[in-house]
Amino acid sequence: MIVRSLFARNFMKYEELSIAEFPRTGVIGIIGDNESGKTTILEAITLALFGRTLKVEEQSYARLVYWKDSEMEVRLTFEIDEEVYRIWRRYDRGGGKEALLYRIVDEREELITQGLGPVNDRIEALFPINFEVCRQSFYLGQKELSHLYEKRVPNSIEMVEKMTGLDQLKRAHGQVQEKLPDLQDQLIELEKQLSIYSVKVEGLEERLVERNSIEVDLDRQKLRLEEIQTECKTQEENVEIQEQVRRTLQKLVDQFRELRATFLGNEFKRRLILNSQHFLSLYRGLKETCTQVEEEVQSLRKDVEAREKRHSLSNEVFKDLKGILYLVQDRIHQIDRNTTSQIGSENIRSYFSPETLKDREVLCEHQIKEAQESAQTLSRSYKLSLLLLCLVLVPPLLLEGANVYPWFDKITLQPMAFQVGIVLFIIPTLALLFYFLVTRSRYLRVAKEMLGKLRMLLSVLQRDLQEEAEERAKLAQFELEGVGSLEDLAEVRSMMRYEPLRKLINELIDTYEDRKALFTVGFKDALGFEQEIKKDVEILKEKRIILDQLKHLIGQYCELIEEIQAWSFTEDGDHAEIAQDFSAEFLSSSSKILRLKELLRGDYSHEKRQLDDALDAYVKLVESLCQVASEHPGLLPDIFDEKRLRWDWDSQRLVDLDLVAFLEKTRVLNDEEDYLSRLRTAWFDRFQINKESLLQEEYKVQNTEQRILFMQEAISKIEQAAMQRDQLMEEMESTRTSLETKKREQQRTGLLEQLLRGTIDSLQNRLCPNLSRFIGSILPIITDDRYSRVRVSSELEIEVYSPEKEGYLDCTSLSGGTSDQLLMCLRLAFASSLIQSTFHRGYAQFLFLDEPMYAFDSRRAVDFLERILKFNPNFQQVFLITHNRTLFGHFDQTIEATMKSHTLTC
Amino acid sequence: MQKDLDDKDLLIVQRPVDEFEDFVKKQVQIQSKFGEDSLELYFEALDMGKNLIEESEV
Repeated sequence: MIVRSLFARNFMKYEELSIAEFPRTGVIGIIGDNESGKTTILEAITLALFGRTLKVEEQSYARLVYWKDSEMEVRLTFEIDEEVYRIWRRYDRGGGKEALLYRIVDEREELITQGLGPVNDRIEALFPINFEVCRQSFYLGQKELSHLYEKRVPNSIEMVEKMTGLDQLKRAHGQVQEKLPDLQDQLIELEKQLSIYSVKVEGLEERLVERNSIEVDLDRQKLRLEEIQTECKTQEENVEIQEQVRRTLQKLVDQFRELRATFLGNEFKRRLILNSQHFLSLYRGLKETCTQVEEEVQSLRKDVEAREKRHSLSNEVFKDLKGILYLVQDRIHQIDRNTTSQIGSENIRSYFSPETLKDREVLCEHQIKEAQESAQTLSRSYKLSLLLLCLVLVPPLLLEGANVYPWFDKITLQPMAFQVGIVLFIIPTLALLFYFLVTRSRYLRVAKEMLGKLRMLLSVLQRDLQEEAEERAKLAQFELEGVGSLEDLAEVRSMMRYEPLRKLINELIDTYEDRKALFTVGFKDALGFEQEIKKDVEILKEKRIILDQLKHLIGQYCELIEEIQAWSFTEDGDHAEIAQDFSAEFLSSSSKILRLKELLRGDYSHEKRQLDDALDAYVKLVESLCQVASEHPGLLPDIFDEKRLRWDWDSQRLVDLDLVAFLEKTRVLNDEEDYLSRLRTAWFDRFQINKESLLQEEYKVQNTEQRILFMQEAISKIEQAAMQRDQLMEEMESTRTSLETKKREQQRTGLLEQLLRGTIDSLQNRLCPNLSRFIGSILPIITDDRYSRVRVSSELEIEVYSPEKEGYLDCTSLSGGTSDQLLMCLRLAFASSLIQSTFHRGYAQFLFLDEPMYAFDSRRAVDFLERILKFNPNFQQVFLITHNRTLFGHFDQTIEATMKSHTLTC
Repeated sequence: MQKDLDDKDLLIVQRPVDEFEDFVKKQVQIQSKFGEDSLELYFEALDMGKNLIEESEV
């Protein structure tokens, strides 16, 4: 393909680009400063041919439109095998596209096809090289060579790889290789995970097998639970009934106690009322009796007083005589007292101050006895002293006198000191004995005198006692009836030795000395009066005693009377009961009242209605118990006896009994209470049996429930295990899928690695021989035969033989210019290879070289220009962009672009 | 010089992706000749490789 002309409007920086004709052969130099639009010319050609540029993708046409306008067009005339074609394309910013393809025949345009697709297809048919291959072969990019050079590519292998795209393939291959071990590890990990899951699932499966047996057992346990619950319910009902029975029994005991207390209280109160009324009647009778006696006493007293008035004179005489009689009696009493002694009793005082004659006599006798004992003692001590004195004096004197033993002489023969000692011993001893003898003699005489006095005193006292005994005998015989006259009275006086009596008699005699007759009459009257009034006085005394007794009774029981009268439940009637013995009656009645009070303990609130209510409640409780006993005979204690509970409270047989007998009879109630208590206690034994049964049943229920709970938990756990197993299965399935995916990925990645490796090997194998051949054919031309031998390894390492160094060098070891030339050869080799393989031998083709001589010096650049068209005859048209203005003269056509201009025409 | 060049083994360098695709297609053809049924893996590897090569483009 040879480019003939180019026209572009609003394309990139150019408002208009128009090159009327390019030379068919030769080098077309495009020169200009940076950003002057040199490459844009090549871009316009590329756009016209392939619908895209080197820098902009197909979909980004808006970027290619000149900034001031909204649409652009490009028109390119080219020649293929002497046929001229023209392609026209239009683009706008809104995405509009148009394309037309003409054939130029005789300067006339013949439309071949239109539209992007048909036009592109047609172009591809005309020029069977796609954009990428074209760019890779016929286009040497701007700074492509210098880029490789400046990047300090370490060796030619990488350089070639970069140029051929092998590096990209190798990077992809490297990534795949890196990925493979990871995939292998992941596979191992997944397989391990899968085996763990399978072990876990197996374990869970084993547990799931147990479920059926547990469910069967669970059903059995549920049935058993129902049976036990039914039994338990029955036991609960029994226990509930027993609880009711217990409460009923408790109430029964309480009610029985209340009933008994009410019954007894009522009975005691009733008896108290009766006794109180009886007592009040007695009291009333007592008061009436007392009034009567008092009236009688008053009457008697008045009578006696009247009589006493009448006999006042006689009474006066009689009073004096009575005084004598009283004195006689006093005297008798005095004598009787004198004849008694308190000595020897506990009255200690009588020892020290004797009051009676008898005391003095006894005391005197006692003193005599003591004095006798003292005298005897003194006499014995006197005799003993005398005997001692005789014993001391007589023997020595007799011995000396008879010259039996001349102890005086012997003493005189003794030393003086001994003699003095004998004298000093004998004289005091004798003096002491004499002194003792004299004093004993004096004391003995005094004692005898004292004894004589005491004996005389005793005889006096005995005589006085004798006289008083005689006087008493006379006084005892004295009676007033014996005194008939004053003479009789004088005779009495002569007999009396008691001075006050004698004095009174004397006064009486003196008083009535001149009225002897009056005395005699008065005395007889007085005696008669005495006889007359004596009965009345006795009666009066008796009446007064009775009255005192009655009043004492009234005083004794007045508090009880007041208390009874204060009771609201007793009535004080008019009935008065006269008793033979009020004291006994009162005592009996009050004892009963006190006993009843004691029994009632001050509680007088008992009413008949309460008794009826208590009895009704008790009977109801008994009926309730009897009903339970008939309905549930086994729930009550064995000692339960219905008859014992039905005690006849209404019976009157007890009511009329005596209180003591009543109390004795009502002791049966204690037995009843004991029976009820025993019944209650016995209930507990029965209750305990049932309660234990209930507890056992409850324990069984709990046990069974616990067992069911355990089983349900076990089933729940098994269900959880099943869920866990399902989950594990899912996870295992997921893991298996992942494993399969990973295996697939591993296979795919392995295959990819093989394919990439194969692609790389294929490309290397393909490039290796051809590259050396093509470079070897181009390099001598480019280097003016300086370098002619090239060696390319299987890894595409290019080495150039250096004649100077006589060895092969890597391209990076060559000089910069030589390296550029080698690189240029490489590029041209690709281009040659393509053109040669695609087109026929005479095919003319353009070649784009964008600043290939970046690092060339002027001479080498000129040499390159001279040789560029020689290395391959197919490349007849070369577009070369350069900054080097020294090359102007060497171009077949020169197109100069300026930075400021938006229009280029030539 | 032209005589030395062999048309069959030339330095035609396409894009790496295209090179890879061509190679894979050739392998697929070979495998299909051997009666390999499961060629799906090749196509998957092809897609994967194409993506990988495009991603590894600098």
